[in-house]
Amino acid sequence: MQINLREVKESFIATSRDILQKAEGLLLEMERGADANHFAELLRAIHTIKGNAGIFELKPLIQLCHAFETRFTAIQSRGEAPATEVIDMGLTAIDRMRAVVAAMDDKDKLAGFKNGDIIARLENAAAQGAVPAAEDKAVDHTFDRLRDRTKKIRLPEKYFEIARRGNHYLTFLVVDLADQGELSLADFYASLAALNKVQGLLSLGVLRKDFRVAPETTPFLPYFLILSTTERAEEIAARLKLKLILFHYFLEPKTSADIRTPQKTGSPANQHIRETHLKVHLDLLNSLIDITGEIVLTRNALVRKMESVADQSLVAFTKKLSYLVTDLQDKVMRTRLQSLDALFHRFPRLVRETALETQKKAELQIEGGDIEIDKAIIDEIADPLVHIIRNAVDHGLETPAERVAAGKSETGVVALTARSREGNIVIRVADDGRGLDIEKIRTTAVGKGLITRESAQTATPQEITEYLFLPGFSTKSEVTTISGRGVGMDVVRTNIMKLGGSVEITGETGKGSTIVIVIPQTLSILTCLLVEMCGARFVIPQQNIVEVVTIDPARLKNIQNKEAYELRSRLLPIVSGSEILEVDGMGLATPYIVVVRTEKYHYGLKIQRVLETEEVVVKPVPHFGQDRQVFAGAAIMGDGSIAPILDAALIGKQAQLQANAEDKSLARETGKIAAQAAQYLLFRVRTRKIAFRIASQPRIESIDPERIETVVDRQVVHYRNEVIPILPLDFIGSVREGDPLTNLIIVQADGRRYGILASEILDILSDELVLRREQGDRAEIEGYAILDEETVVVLDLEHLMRATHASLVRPVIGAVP
Amino acid sequence: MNFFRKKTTTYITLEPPDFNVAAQKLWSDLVYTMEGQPVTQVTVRLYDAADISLKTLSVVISLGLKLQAESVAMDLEAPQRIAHIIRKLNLSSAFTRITEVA
Repeated sequence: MQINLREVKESFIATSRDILQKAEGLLLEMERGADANHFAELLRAIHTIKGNAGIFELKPLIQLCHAFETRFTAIQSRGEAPATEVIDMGLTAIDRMRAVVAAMDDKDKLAGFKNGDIIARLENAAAQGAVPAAEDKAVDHTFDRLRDRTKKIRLPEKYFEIARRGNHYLTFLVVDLADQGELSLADFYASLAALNKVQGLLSLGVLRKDFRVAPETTPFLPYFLILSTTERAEEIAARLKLKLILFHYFLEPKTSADIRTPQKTGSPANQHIRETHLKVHLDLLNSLIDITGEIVLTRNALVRKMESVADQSLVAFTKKLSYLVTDLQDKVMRTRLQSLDALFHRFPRLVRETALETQKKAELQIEGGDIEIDKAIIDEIADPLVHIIRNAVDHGLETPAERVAAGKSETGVVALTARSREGNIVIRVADDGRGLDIEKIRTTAVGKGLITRESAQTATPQEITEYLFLPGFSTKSEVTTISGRGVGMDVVRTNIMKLGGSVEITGETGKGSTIVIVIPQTLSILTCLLVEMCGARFVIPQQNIVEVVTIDPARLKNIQNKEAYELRSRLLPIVSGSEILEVDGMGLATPYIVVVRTEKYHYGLKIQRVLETEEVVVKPVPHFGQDRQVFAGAAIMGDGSIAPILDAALIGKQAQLQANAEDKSLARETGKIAAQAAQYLLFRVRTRKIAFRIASQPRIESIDPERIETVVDRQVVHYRNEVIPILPLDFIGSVREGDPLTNLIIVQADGRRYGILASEILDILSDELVLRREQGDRAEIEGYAILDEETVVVLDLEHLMRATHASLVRPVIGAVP
Repeated sequence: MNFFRKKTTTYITLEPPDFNVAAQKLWSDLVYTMEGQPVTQVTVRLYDAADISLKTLSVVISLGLKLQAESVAMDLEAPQRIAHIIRKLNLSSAFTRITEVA
């Protein structure tokens, strides 16, 4: 068999990076408190690196790992917790190990690494115990030899049988009986006897002569225990109050996941079943995504062509192909998703080191690391986040003395949270430090000549914070290695904007500051709505669209010279295309409003026509659009033409809209309107008109009847990778039989989604309906109303959803096996 | 610690004060008793020892193992309970013979 050394090397580099990251995390945890598990995991990690490094004869790495192991084994055997300087030393060693791994192909670079200083520090530190350095080193060396030799011991097969039968660890552990403090023989025996009652003690004794390599000057009595136990070696040692020298697991219990998988013991094929992950080169994934992008474009073009083809069988094939391409695209895009933890785990160390450098006390709280995001985005946001977090500690947090004087705890908190919202990822970095000094920022901006004194005086606090993103801005009088040069936040914003994201900063003096980054979850392919505005075609990302409404001129309002639209008891600020694009849109009818929502804005965009929804391949924005700053990129359409992608957040900013909660004039007017009558969604199911009261706008979609399935006695629909139960309306007699229902109304209650199938969506009724209700009417019906001489059944949607949920969670008695 | 020699036999007696000394010192003291004339037989007596530390016992056992490697026989005289535990812990092979004493 041929071994591809390049692949092995790449795998080694990738694995080492992961292991070193884990080791770094362990070290940081150990600083807060170390137990036997920490030591065991850390030593195992470094030992694995050392073993792997042996394959490539990476001597510098082997030596570093060896010194690291020696140092931490010595600490462990003394039962000590590593001090801060030891953690520092460990982190430095890990950094050097990383550098060696990264440079493994570069012989000159490798030769340039002078690891002697780190090794000497580790070894000297190891000598700071009760015994002189030379002896300690000799003992550690002895331990290493012992470890290697005892690993090769052949245990009797019956030990394996016993451990296997109980699904236990088959543990071989060695202690130095001469180095167990004041533990008495009787106590040791008693705890051993107690252990033997609950765990299987298979053998014990002094290691044979050929294993004992004791220095002459000190007593050294290696004593082994072989156990079949449910507990790990460290737990056993703790139970026996023993300091461990080393341990091996000759057998480990199967996890519950292993047990669930049916397997034939010892079958080599079995090992393949367990491999659920493969390492795939990023280049391959990227080219897969590119190809998928091309397939999507071709599919879109094909679908467009098929519109004029009469052959129904061809149309059906095209539809199926289209579904498959969508599915393929979804799966391929997921291959490049990576959890944010991959990025976040480097920040605890960053905060620790920045705090040490600035003589502050800081704690980092992380939430939402499990959210997945495109790897390309992770790579791009890494540097901006490093900068923001470092700033939060250096600029944001006060010194412990200042904090205490301000009535805060000595340790400042930097909270890093991520969550997913409407197709975007919102990353928030908040600190509880000194906050933003708006006046200082104002003065600095004027002082640096970034703005005129006049415009600074009239600027709102929100506008003032924007100066922080100007190139060269820094309020820090002192330049440190960490921050203060003023080259940071503008680069942060530029980088985030390149991704189609946004970054905002808010803060109040003394109460900390918050930086919010909003970025798309994925790049490359977006589901968009194609619209016509100002005579040209534009695409709006579907994730920002709440709904599209036909304008009722009577509901257009003018609030303080701003156009707004009254939509279901709420006034929506309106933005017109001619305003943001600065083109003459006069004379063009704009009968529709696309209601968009971003993290910060909620407004309506006036458009001429709704064309269609389409999955588009995102390309970087061409130069012509960059000065407008309202485009997130350009999309290649199915017919090969290019359409600019509108960035909803940038439009909101360009139109100088107030953030969602801040527009007081609109909020006031909205309050007045909300006091008016309730609204109902009116729809038709076959021959019957039905309505329900709406609290928030439901999502309405066209649906292929094939996506509706009947499971046992219930209907469900596949909607965006989710199976949604259909609310049954069978109790309304005339809706049972007839044509397939092709409209799906998505409603939501208690975080659960339900669907209502309809033949046609008719209207939203704002007039107050006069409801009549008879005694004995079903609880799912709120009442009956007469509309255009026709009876409308008005549903009590909340009751219907509750009843449906209750029937779903009830076990089905006598279900089909 | 008391010790005396009779021809090539060394008799060592360890008593409670010896059980509290550092293992390293005890070890070097014991090794010292073997110096000089050749020794073919050593007897270590543990007196007044209801219980001893693992550390002290390890020094005695290490001595037994060291002498065994040099083909010197070593007997242990110990209270019944200690002798019993030594056997249970598979430590008796360090000695040629274990004698239980009152």
